[in-house]
Amino acid sequence: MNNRLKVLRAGRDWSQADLAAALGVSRQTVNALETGRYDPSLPLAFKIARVFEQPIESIFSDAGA
Amino acid sequence: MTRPGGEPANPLRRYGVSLGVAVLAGGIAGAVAAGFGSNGATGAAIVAAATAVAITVGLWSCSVWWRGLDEAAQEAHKWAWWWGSTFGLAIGSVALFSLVFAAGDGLSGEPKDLLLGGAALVAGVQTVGYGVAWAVWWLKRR
Repeated sequence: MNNRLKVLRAGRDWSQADLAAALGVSRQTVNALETGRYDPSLPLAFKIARVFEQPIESIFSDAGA
Repeated sequence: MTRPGGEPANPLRRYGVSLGVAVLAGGIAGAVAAGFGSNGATGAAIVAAATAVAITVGLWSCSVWWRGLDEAAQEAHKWAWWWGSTFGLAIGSVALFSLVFAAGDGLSGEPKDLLLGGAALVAGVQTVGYGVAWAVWWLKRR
């Protein structure tokens, strides 16, 4: 799965630690998400969408589609 | 700069406290076993009770620590539990059987020492496998 987390975070001038604090996860988890090597659960994906105030489908996309 | 609120909990501190509680409980159970283990059936009952209490405290401590982990950290531990511990169990079992049959008559000692030594060998290799698998999971996601 692809995502725009890094772009969205950079657009807000947040560090990985800032985003991690907002999501209630570790910085390592944010890094794993941004590199696309860890796909979040649905609850975490919804939380990410709320933090960035965007629909999930504008943040995540299916790499196989 | 707009900063999101909230302070992340310190996972290393939580892990240290949890590990400390588990080690302390295990140490107390070990001391009880050393002090009462040779007192026949009563000693065995005391050791069993102390071990049960220690394991209960250890599991409670682990559950507190587990609930504080985020989902990726939990996933890393679940992956490590399956792959690392399974391979560790397999390798440890091969090592144990090889050692037992290779040693022949050279393997001597109290039955309980031999039994606990074998269990410790397998558990030790499992733990190493768990640690390696956990590190691999995170290294692959850096």
